[in-house]
Amino acid sequence: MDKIFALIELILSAGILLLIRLEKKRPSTRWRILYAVPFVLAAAVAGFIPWDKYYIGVYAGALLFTFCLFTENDRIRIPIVCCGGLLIGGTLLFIMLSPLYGADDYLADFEKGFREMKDYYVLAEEKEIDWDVLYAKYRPQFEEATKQRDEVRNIKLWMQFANEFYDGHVGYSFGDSAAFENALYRIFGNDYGLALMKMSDGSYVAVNVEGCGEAYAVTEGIDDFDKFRDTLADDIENKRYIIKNAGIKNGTIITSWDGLSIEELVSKADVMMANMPDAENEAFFRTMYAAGYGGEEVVIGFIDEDGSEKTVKAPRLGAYICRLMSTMKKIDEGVFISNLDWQKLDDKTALLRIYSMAYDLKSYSGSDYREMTDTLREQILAYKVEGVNDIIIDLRRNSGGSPFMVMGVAQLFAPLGEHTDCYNAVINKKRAAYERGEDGKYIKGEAITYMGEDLWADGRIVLLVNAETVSAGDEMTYLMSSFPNVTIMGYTKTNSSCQAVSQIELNKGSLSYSAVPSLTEDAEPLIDTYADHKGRVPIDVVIPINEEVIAAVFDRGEDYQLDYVKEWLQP
Amino acid sequence: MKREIRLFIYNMLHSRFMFVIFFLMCLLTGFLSPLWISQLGGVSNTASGLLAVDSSVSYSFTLMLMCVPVAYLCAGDMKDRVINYEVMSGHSRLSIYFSRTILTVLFTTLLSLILSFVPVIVGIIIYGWGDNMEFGYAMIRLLFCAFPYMRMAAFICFLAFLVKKATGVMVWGYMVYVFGAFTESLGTKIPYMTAFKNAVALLEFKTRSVYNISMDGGIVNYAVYQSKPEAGLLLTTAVVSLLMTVIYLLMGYGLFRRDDLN
Repeated sequence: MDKIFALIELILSAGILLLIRLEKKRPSTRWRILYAVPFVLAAAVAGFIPWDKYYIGVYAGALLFTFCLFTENDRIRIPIVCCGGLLIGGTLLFIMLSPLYGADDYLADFEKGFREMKDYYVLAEEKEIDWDVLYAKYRPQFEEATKQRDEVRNIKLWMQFANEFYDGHVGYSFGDSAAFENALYRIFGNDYGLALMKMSDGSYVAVNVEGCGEAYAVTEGIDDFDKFRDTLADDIENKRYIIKNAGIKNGTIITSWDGLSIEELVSKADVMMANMPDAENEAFFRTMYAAGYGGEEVVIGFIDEDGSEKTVKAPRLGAYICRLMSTMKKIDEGVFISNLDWQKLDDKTALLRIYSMAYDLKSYSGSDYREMTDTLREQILAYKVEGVNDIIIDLRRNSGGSPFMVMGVAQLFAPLGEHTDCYNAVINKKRAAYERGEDGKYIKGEAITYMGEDLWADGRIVLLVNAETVSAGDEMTYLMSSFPNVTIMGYTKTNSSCQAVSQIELNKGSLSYSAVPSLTEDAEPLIDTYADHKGRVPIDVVIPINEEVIAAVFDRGEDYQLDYVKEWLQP
Repeated sequence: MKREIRLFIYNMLHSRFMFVIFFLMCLLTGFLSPLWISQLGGVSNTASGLLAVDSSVSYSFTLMLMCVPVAYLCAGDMKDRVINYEVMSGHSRLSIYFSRTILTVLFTTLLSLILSFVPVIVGIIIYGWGDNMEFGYAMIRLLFCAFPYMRMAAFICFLAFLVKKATGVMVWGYMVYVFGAFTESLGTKIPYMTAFKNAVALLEFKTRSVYNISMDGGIVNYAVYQSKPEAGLLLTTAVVSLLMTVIYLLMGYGLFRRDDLN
């Protein structure tokens, strides 16, 4: 319709030139009405279909024709009509040829997402978000991405923008999954056959090394990444074992990367897929992201088995995102059984796997989890009869869900009596916002409580967590950390993001953010980090990351954390 | 000029049909308002709930009927060639045209605004304002509807000097409304700055997904509406409406200045 409209206006401008001649031959004041037609049409089109800034020349040209209503002098009318025609014709040519016309407006998406987040993000004060600084930083970049029609940059900018909030609930997803996949290949750099990991002693080691043990193989791909083969380097079979043959294996200390120290390299990792609100967690994961930095080839410095420092020229094998995701998965993945399934590990130990705080569709949005609680209770009592003494609850990579399911599980292990999970916040419906008091804190509303049953009072409970234990997973860890017989264990703390989420729909994707406060007794937001970037969910035993871990996870493909916990539980 | 204004007031006071229609519409919307409010769901049954859920009660009757006063005030006496006598008695076309149209636009805008407020006022009297929106912000939005009404009235004035018959003006004015309503029924919202029905944008109260957790209901959703208008929306509505009002009136004059007045 749009270009047709401009074409019709162009034809009308030619018609008006003919009209001026016709008016001479057959004089009548009735002809004058026709001079108004182009503008009335333009106004109607702009009124009933979207106003378009690129058509301003057409609107202006049509308006020019109306000047003919006020003069009969052809020396004025003809140049006016010609100017109008040229404006319309020029506009038509511009919209047909300009790459800007019809381009995705990433800036408009940013403006919308930014505005709504500024209005409704519930942790802005606690996290000391400076909206003006963010706007000044990102607006020009989104504008540039729009001008250059750079989809990859748009996606990267959204990820970086989300990173600014150090909140696991702030994230961007792009509508077109194929384009998103393609962007991820480019954003996270090149695969040189290894990932990096920071050990507990502060050194940096190679992990998930191509060709070593159970490491990721560049020709395999991962998860839903269908087009990873398009990213593979030519002559891949001859290149993929170069670093292994040079002496780099899982656990080899890496000293430099293309002339940079590893600390410098890590500082160049300027974007992460998911936010790690806790500073220690962030430092641990940012190291993994760093190994995608470089061009067609990087020079990697490492300590060889004989203790000497060596270098190897590592060629690009493919896109790093697959190895990165594989590395995170190997480190963070929990036991691979169904949600809420039990596994008896030995006579004394049983494991309950919870990777999502969702039981079924019926209960998800409600508060009634009795069916789930009854089933769990039955099993717990059965284990008690069997003589099981220790329960491991595997919350690794728990993506969150309903707080009522958290309580439905926690109540079985909580000491007898009433416990408060959290408080909701009072809504000011007129302002479409949650109310803050004079002290700047949210005003507490209803207390969300549950009754403890203390079924496992005589036994031990270990919660196995990591930085991908988020939201309701965070909440469960926080809640149960106060029970006397519970120990929290893991390589890292939980994610530390617990407010409920909402989503902003944008033209090209969607932006999720913390939108509903959950509060503590002191009316502080539950769990989420403040400006100090310190997670408030405790961890009792930090499993050290050392050579043993690397060998078990990446060479032998073992669940080292679970083995560590089993060992720890031995009397 | 004074004479033209007196003539306009005389015309206005003798347009009994126009006032009858206006009061009937006020009665109708005043009567329907409590009925609509009593049947609201998902929001409190109050005047603010009515505006939040279906703000079209405030502008659709107005837009549908605003061709009536314009037709009567601008073109009601054209059939009797009153304008011809005015021209022949030595008044300039410029003063005849602009006194007639400007007063018509202002008076029509006033009537339209009153009609827009009727369902809200009746709702407040019977059910109270409620807690769905800020009263002040909602009133600002309603008041700013004067600008799109003004633009619409000016466009119908332009039609009046084209058609030159009160009935014709009403038919064409109503057609404009019907076309707008038709495009809306196809799912096309018309919140654009240049649209006749910019009132849609002004009275579109954005809703957002606000929820809380509660012991009784689990995840409880609330219908929360954003009543605070954006300054940009108010400004552009006012500027574009005034600009288009001037353009339509000038175009109407362009037609009138060379009219044979047969």
